[in-house]
Amino acid sequence: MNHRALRAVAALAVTALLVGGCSSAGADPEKKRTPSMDASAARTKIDALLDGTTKAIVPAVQFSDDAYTSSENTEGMNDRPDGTTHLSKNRYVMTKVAQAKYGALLGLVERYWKSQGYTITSVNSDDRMPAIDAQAGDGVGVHIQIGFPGNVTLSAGVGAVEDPQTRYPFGPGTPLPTDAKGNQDLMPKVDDPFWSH
Amino acid sequence: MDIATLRDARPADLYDAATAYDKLAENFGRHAGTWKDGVDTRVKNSQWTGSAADQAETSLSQTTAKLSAAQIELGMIGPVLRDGAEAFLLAQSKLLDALEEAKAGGYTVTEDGGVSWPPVSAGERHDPDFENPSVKGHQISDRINNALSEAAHADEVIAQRLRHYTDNAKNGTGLDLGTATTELTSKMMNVFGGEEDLLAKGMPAANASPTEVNSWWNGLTADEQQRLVKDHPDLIGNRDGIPAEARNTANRAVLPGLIKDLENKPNRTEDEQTKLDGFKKIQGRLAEEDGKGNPPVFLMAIGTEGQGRAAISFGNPDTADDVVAYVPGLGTKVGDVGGKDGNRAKDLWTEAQKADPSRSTASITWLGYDAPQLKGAEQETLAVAGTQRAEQGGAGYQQFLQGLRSTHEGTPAHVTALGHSYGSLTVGQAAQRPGGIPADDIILVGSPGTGAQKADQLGVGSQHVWVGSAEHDPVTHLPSHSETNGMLGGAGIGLVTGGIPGAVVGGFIGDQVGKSGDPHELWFGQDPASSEFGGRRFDVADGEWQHSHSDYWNQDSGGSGGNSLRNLGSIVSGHGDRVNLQEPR
Repeated sequence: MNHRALRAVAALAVTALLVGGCSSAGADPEKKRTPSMDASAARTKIDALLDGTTKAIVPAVQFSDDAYTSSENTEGMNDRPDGTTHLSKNRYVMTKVAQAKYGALLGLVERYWKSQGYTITSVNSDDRMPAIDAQAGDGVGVHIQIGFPGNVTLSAGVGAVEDPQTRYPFGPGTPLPTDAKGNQDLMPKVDDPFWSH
Repeated sequence: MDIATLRDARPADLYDAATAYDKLAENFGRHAGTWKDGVDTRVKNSQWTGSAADQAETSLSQTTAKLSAAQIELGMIGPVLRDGAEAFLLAQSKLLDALEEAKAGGYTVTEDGGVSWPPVSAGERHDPDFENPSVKGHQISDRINNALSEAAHADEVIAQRLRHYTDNAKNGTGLDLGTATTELTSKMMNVFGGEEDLLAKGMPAANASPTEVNSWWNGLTADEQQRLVKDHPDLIGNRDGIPAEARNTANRAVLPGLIKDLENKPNRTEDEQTKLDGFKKIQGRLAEEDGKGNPPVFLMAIGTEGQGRAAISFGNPDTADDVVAYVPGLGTKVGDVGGKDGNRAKDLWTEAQKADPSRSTASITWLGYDAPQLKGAEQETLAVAGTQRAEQGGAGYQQFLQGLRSTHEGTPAHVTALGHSYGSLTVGQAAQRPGGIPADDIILVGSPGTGAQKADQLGVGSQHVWVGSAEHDPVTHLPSHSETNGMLGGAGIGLVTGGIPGAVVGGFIGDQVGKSGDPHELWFGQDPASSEFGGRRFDVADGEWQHSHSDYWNQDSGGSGGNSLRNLGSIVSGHGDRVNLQEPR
């Protein structure tokens, strides 16, 4: 059988498994997502990751936290919920960080993650929008990214938690800063003698 | 009615007359109240008994009833006049628009509504770019005549109603409390919501373009707009060309009724139950997001057609700098707009804000079509779904985006069309319709094909067609019709049918169309991730067969989507040049 036919056979076989939703005939049950913890345990992990990472940034920066947010995980060609959700939280740094300091900031964070034994899974070295991803084990991840105008976001999350059946399992959180028109405004405005210059 | 009558009419004066009638009814009501308390009730409570007393009481009660009836009748005149004023104003503004356009185009309009234009010269006739004035002339003539007949109709209806009340007053039926009360509650006479609601009748026809709808809407006064939203939310909420604020208010007013109707239905079908659960889920989600506060959430569409319709926007699409409208695909149910697909729109909103908070974002999930449901191996398959749903959905999606463009305030937004799974076929079909879609970027994720062979057929330039295709996403590997055909006719047949329920294969071999032997030919045309297609493939995680079709919005922090969501955020916020690319297939 040629390459094309093999690929077609493979796709059809997968189609049958995913559409039928059965796990017989070769589906790997290991690949089905199962919750690694409940939302409360995930929250503790997320807080530890964000707080640890933030402390590693010296001099200290100011920040605003978004709500803990749960997003349903789905699977199969029909894209149906698999009973787990991804729980995550964003921490927006409100201190202005000059482009010349991006390297220093990312370096501090990356060194801290490595010292904790996390695995660096991805590094984006774009000059304006750099980012680093790390995994801390148990499906727990942490991430830093810089937006186009220089805003910095730290995120931490747990990939598969027991579905808390609500989008914001720990409430809507503290309101984030808004601009004159009432739109959310994450533009950093706090000046720091070191980071902002 | 002739042009001069409508053009020179001062229908706004009717508002003053309506206010005067309201005042009259109010004063009359006070007078009736004084009579009732001062005479009727006092006599009843006076301890006066006997047959003379009974007769007096009956007589006094009758007088009280007549006064109440007259008050109700008087109270109905004001709304009729106001209703008429609005209908006349609407017809008048349509007439003035048409006359203005006629004047600008050099057309002559006679007093009876005839439109003429200068003769076409021989040179003009042979010029391929020459626009024949007769086409536009006929359009203007139609518009003038429509405005005149709308005004004439309004005139007739208002006159008839006023005559009705006058007759009631003359012949005394207007003093009968029973008649007055019946009229007050009668649908025919209910000027606020009956079939003869003249303002609603002025709405553009069902096939009018979103731009026409928008110019009609903008021609209404703020009061008229509010009244339509309040009295006819079902006509306003899903109408493309009406601003997001009004659609949202209307749809949120409609939603509880849809839920109640379904709840009251005995022996609900499975389909109805799915819709009921879905609408409740959406309602719950709106409450949750309202509690969060920012961004504001707009219910852009809601309805029971087909499998149910819904669209939700995080952020106001009429004021946002960046707008993304996501079309979900295989297996999507209406409740998902309040669930996983709503989450995706919201997560993408957040991601676009992280990428560039100096810009405002609106992120929409649009389910304006029936997404194919793969039900096991026995019923519908991708092949049975075919392209029909995507073609119909594509027409609706095109119109939705045209509506967004027409309602957007100020500088046009940077618009991204985003399709997942079968929804990418829907987006592809919309983009290939005449006129294309008013989008700057197109993103296709988990795509089984768009019906196009080349990215540049989608009308936004191949450099603005972005493709996310996980290596282990089965939908992005669905073989083409001809491949399946050839395979099943060849040595592979035993292997395939051995492990696969017959109907799946049956579905795939049905509707066979011979195509080229291109290895990148997918179920619905060229694989968008292939180099032949010519789009830009951005980096996503390879993933697992089980769930990589679903992982494009999964966050990097602990999730399994790799760079996907971050790349989506960069494209939506207008920073596509910063995405991480991946080698095409």
